[in-house]
Amino acid sequence: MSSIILKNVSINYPVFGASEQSLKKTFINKGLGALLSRKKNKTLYSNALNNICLTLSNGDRIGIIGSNGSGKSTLLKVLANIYKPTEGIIKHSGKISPIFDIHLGMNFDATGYENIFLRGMFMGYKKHEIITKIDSIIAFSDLDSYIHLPVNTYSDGMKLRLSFSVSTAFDAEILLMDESILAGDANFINKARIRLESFISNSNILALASHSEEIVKCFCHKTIWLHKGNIMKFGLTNEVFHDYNSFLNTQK
Amino acid sequence: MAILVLTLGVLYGMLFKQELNNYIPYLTAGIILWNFLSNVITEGASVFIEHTGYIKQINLNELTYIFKIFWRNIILLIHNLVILVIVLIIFHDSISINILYVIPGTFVFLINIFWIVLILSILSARFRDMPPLISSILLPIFYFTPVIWNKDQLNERAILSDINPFYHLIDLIRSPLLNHAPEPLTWKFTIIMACIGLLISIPIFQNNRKNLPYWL
Repeated sequence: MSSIILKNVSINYPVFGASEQSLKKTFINKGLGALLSRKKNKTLYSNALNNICLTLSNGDRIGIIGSNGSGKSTLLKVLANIYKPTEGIIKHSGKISPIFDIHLGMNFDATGYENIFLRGMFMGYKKHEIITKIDSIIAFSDLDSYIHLPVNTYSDGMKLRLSFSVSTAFDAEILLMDESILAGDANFINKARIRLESFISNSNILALASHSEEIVKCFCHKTIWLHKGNIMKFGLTNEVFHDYNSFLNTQK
Repeated sequence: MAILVLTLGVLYGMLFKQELNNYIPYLTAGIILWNFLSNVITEGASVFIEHTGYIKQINLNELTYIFKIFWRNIILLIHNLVILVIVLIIFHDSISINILYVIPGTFVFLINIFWIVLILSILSARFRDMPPLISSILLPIFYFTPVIWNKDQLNERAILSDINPFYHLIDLIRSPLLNHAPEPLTWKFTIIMACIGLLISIPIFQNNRKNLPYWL
């Protein structure tokens, strides 16, 4: 059983200017400056998520939509436990697989074969677990003998195929994705989509941030609509999109 | 590295009128260890800044990145130690039981560098003028520490080295490599420093590690 529970979670990013990032200036301002002037130097915060309450449980396929800057990626990163909430609490159970950048952890000077291990270990799998999957990974990536050449010599498409194959080779419990994984050449997309569908259906929970109505409707039965860090609506995908689209039309 | 050690060895050996048989091994060991120490500290200070891409993409234990720096530099250190072995074969005649002090010495040495990196890495993620500050401070420390010169040359002013933590850290490993036991003062100094350092650095690290994605 997997679940993620968010209770009253708020995320405030501190906004540091150049002078707050300088030890010297901070020291002068807070140390000497405080003695000499009454001026308050308060750090500014940007409120990215506001009082979010959310429960994701087994079988949930959640889409996250909203305009740019609405907090979609921040919410994903809170779910992935990267940003610890500045207020509120978050409870996880189950292994989280965040797939935002599928190249993460790869070393392009190493061969494709070595990179399967690098990427796999980065996602938290042991060497022997990777070995059991290695043949299917190589087969799906279509790299054949290129697998023993350095990744530097690959085309962008080949790199993508390799990292996609590794990233989707292991069943995830809690799968967090943004739509960047769906980019790629058309030929590969069809093949990738089938694999992605089975990859997603094997996961217990999916959260997918996207701009595309088509993608969200394809994968998610429920959707969260975020606007300026607040949840505007959380419900069945069709209903949320109905409201979201009429909201977008009134904005125009 | 070998070229550096050889040219410096002959040059400073003449300048300081040292006996090359003793001076070149002393210099080689000192420079190799200093190189390790200063590389780990400078790289360690900017470790989280360098790994921003990782820290914002995946929730890994932050120590992973620090151990990565340590591991890479330990491998480099072992490669450089080959030079020292060759130098020792050429210039030194015997090996004594004192070389065994290398094992506890290395242990205490690494613990001390570890807590220094813990503090500096967190501070540098918050204050971006730290890494350049650290690298500019390390150079004067290098000249102040007995690496290219010998502590004995200070004569009655040896106190200048006795209060220098970097002298003690280097000497923990250098002395046993050159067949001497480190001074008792060195042991006391570095072990106390490691305890106090860990006591200070672990709470600082624990309290601030969750802020890293926000700071970067």
